[in-house]
Parts: sequence; C-alpha cells; structure tokens
Amino acid sequence: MTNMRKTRFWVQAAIIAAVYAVLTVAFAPISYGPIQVRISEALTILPFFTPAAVPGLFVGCLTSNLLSPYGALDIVCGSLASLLAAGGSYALRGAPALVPLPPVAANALIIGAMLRFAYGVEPSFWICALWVGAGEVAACYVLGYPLMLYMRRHKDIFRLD
Amino acid sequence: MIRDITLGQYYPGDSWAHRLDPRVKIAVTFVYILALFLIRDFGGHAVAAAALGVAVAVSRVPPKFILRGLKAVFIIILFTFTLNMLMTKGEPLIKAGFIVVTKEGLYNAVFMGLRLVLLIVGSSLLTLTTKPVRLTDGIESLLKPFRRFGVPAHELAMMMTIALRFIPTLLEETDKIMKAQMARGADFESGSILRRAKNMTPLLVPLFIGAFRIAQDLAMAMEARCYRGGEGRTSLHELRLRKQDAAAIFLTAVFLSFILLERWLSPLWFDI
Amino acid sequence: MPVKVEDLVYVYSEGLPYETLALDGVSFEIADGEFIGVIGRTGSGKSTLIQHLNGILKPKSGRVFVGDAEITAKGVKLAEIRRKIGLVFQYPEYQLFEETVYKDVAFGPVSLGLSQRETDRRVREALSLVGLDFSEFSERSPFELSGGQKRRAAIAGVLSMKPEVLILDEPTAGLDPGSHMDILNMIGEIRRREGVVVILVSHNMNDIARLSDRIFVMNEGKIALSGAPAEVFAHDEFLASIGLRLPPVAEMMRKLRLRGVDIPEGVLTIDEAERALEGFLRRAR
Repeated sequence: MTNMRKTRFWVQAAIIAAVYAVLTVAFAPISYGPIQVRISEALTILPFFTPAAVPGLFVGCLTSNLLSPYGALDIVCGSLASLLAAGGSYALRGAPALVPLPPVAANALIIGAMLRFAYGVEPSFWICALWVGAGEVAACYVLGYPLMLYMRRHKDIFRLD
Repeated sequence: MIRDITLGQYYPGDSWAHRLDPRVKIAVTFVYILALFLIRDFGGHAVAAAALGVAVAVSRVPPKFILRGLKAVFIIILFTFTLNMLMTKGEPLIKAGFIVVTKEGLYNAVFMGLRLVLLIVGSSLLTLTTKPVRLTDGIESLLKPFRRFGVPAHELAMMMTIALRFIPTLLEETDKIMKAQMARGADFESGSILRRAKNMTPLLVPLFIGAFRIAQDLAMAMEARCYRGGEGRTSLHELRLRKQDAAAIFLTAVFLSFILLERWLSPLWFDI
Repeated sequence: MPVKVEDLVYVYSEGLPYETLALDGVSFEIADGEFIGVIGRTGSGKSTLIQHLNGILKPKSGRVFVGDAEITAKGVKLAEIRRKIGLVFQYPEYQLFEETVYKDVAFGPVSLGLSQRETDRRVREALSLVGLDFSEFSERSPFELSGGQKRRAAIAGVLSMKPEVLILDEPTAGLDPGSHMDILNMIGEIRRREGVVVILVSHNMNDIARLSDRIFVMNEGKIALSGAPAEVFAHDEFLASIGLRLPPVAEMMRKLRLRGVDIPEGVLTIDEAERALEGFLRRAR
C-alpha cells in the first residue's frame, strides 16, 4: 500500500473507533454491565464495507471500556471479543446476511464466560451466553442489518483513494 | 443532554501514583487482577484490601470519587450478590417459601461480591490516575516488542489517540444530529427496543457520513505534515522508568508474594 | 401564531464544575407574522434560546407559549410542538440521510403520521418553496447535490411539516455569495407566501437589517436591546461594546456622519444609502 493509502486506512480505523466509543458513551446507561445492549454494536456490520473496521472496532471497544468504570476485565475480554467478531465478519463479507453473526457468537461466548467465571454470575455458562447473545442479536441484527442496507448506497465514503 | 456526559475517569492530581510510568501502572494492575483470581478465601481478600487501601491513599483521590464509580456499578454487584445467594445449592439457612438461602450461597455471595468490588476499585485506580493519552503511550510501548509478531503497536496507539481526540467532537455532532432530527419529528426516546433500534437510522447515517468526512480531512492533513507511519518517529514525551517505578514494581512483587503465601498457609486458619 | 416567552432561565451542566448560565431571564413577545432577527456574539445564548422554542431544551425556570399552548407545561406532547415550530439548524444538510430527496423531505410528514397523499402534496409544496424542481430532484440521492442544493433540500425537510413558526439558525453559513442571496430571497418568499413567523439568527447584519421587522440583541444570556432595525443599529457604541458590528452600509453612513456629512439616521440598506447620498449631494450643490 502506498503511504497515503496506509494513512487513510488507519485514520478510518481510528474514526470508526471514535464513533463506536461515542455511541457507547452517549447511550451509557444501557451500554455496560450484565444487561448490555450497545447501540454501537450495530457498527459490527462495518467490516462488510472496509477492513479498517477490524482494528477500528477493536480499538473502539478498548477505548469505550477505558472510559467506563467497569474496569480492566471488561477491557480485555470485551475488546478481544470485538476483535474476533470483526475478523469473523470481515471473513464472511461475501454473505451479507451472515455478517452480524460473528459478533453475536463471539460476544455471547466470551462475555458469557467472563460473567460466569470472573463475575461469578450463576447459574450456568450457557445461560450467561444466551443472555448476552440476546442483547447482541438485538443490536447487531435489528439495528445493524438495516444500517448495512442503507450504507450500501454510500459505499464510496469508505474508499481509501 | 449529551453535553453533560463527562468523559473518562481521570482525576487530576500530582500524587506519587499519578507520576508513575503508565507501563508500570498497567503491569501492576494486571498483577493485581491476577492476584484477585488466585485468592481462595477471605484472608486473601484482607491482604488485597489492605494493598488497595494503601494504593488509594497514595493516589490522593478522594474516596468520595471512588465510591461514585462504585455507585455506577452497584447494580451489577447487587445482581451478582443476589444470584449467588439464591442459586447456590447446599445447607439451607433461611427459608421463605420458594426462596432458599443456603450457607454456601451466603458465603459465595459475599466472596464474589467482595472480589468484584476489589476488582473494580483496583482497576479504576488505573484510569483515575492516568491520563488517557499517557495510557496509549504506555500501551504502545508495551506492545512494541510484539511488532515482530505482526502487532501494529504504533498504529494501534495512534488510533487510540485520534479516537480520544475526536470523541468530544463526534459527541457534539451526535447531539446536533439528534436535535435536528427530533425537530423533524424523529423519536429516539419512546417505544420498544425494537422500535427504537429502527428509529436510529436518521441518527446513524448522518453521523457516519460526517465522521468519514472528518477522517478524510484528517488523513490529508497528516499527509500534508509528512506523516509516514511509525518508523523512526520520535515522541514529545518519552517514557522513562525512574526510581519510583522501581519501588512500585518491588512493592507489587511483595504484594503478590503475600497473596501466594496466604493461599499456601490458609488451610491452617480456615476450616470452611 | 404568536410566541411568548416569560423569564426563561437555562443552565448547562448544572451541578458540575463547569456549569454555565446560558439564559438569564429572557422574556419577549412575538406577534403573528413578524420577522424577528436575533443577533449576538457567540456564546450570548442565541442557540440555547431558539432550542427552547420547539421544546428540545426544557428551561430550568420560565415559560414558553406558542399560540395558546404552553409548551413548558407538564405532559405536553412534543410531536405537536414540533409540528408547529420548524427549526432549521446550522448546516442542516448534515442531517440528510435518506436514499432520495423525496424520502428525506417526506421524513417529517411521515413521522407525523400523515397519509401518503397528504405527504406527497407537502413534499411537492416544500420542494417548490425552496426552488428545487420536483421532476429533476425528487428521485436523486441527496448526497449527489451541490452544497446550496443540499441545504435547500434540508430546509424543505423542515418546511414539509408546515410549521407556523420558522426558526433558522445561520441559514447562509458557508455558502458562496450567489447561494447566500438565493437562500435569503427564498426565506423572504416563504414568509410572503406562507405568512409564518420567521425568526432568523445570524451574524450577517446586512441580512438582518434587510429582512427583520424587529431585532433582539442578545448578550450574556439576556436580551440587551430590542426594536426596529433602525432603532437598534443607532446604538452603535453599545453594539460595539458587546462585540457586534453594524451592517456595512450603516457603518459607512456612521463614518460619513462623523465627518460632518449630513445624512439622516436609520439608513441601513444600499438602496436607502443611495437615496440618502443623492439627497446630500443635491443639497451640497
């Protein structure tokens, strides 16, 4: 990649991170904790449009958690989940309907595990996972999918040149 | 509305804790969290609480502030506590119809609850005493050795810096868009979650387009100032380890050894 | 639809270390069909004030009446208020989001729950009011339009709600002189055709002087001065002290007067200046 393209790539990623953080913080009461419905999770469809969304969503999640009182554990687990999810979405970008699926799975499993083992939420891992998964489905499919359809008409804002 | 949101956790100050190298603080926090998960009984919690108390005192952050952070998390603590108390099987203590509280349940609830509190207060100390920009410097530095494995340390840190810088700008933009659409009859407040989700499009689309416009301008501005990535790039504030950092590392090692010691010796004190 | 405001007080970030008193007891009345210009330095409270008029902000104390309805009363339906009061923010083109201009302009009526027929009627009317040809623009994406066209499309999006009070915050900001004049003339047209109350917030003294029936001068959260343009701009020293300038024509006349040229007060527009100077030159011969 040329220098200019590289710079554009990382700046795009940075702005995606910023938008993610803004949406999380702006709707703060519902964005954290065991009952998460992050509006910003709608952004998980972005890897469909640009690979810059993979580091972007990762850093976005990282930054959101840094700005929250929930602490270091959320930072590591949440961000890791976002990274894997974004990577998965990017890999599935050929099938638009499946793009919101990796975030649902990754977050359900990883955050579910965090809730069960670290926060000690009973009763079982699978219930925690289901719980988180439900919130993710709401954000990713209900919010994200229509957003994806809209943004398809504006694909050129993601261009790197 | 959105203007009233305070960003981040940083509490301005000049304490010993504030002045530590961010890399050290990040590492210490990790060790602390690790220690919390090594603890098996209340003796360990006592050690951790004592260490935390010392750290809080050193940071000179008013306890009121720290408690305020806890207040935000209060719900999840309560949630965890209650679930643990009601759902653990064992020797029943209190019976009220369907609800059974067991001895094990109570123990678990208190144990987990305490750990959660220690976890949250401890990790907020990191963000309370470190400016976000310094944190990104620290993260970049810590990730540098992993560059050979393909981790783009510099770029990630740069991303965080840019993101942090633009969050207030985008927050304002979001506020403006929300107000403009509300003036046209958009409704972001009422309705079921499903309904509200659908109504977000008039907010998200303009926000995106605006954000990417910013990204394009920024990339061009950086290029115009000869930004060429991380190679050979110097920094205005270089991170340097000092005596107090060595002291902090030493004290953390002491703390960790106490935790391990307590765990090893605990069968002697506890019978549960 | 008359507007009345009683003792509005608003504080930003109340309770936090950086709380600011944005509105410090603002009161005024606007009669039906008036054109009001609002001027004031940045931070004087203009934007805060207008956001109270359509219910986006709720005051700490004070009341706002639109027609007979008190919008600051408890339990008021915001949808009704927003139908009656159209607020066009600065750089309104940044709120465009739909796939076609038609759909974007229709967003307001659709949100109000109007029938498809009524919505269609309003979209056509609104586009005609802003000077965008229906057949040419309605099916295009709003993002393909030029800056001036986008802005007009955005304004059409507010007009389609058929408000009885139209508030515009710096509608000509960032436009080239040609588009600037177009938009201004458009506002005059709308006022003429629809008979609505217009409140124009602007830094452009020329525009304000030309179009306003009355001007409110804001300073530090209060209305420092109000009256007809000629009256307000006669207080040149006071205006200068609060960081405001006179319209260029008035400024020039003022300077001429200081040099002893016999020119009457209250000359604000180029046409008036031309006549005044002609008059002076004739007398001087």
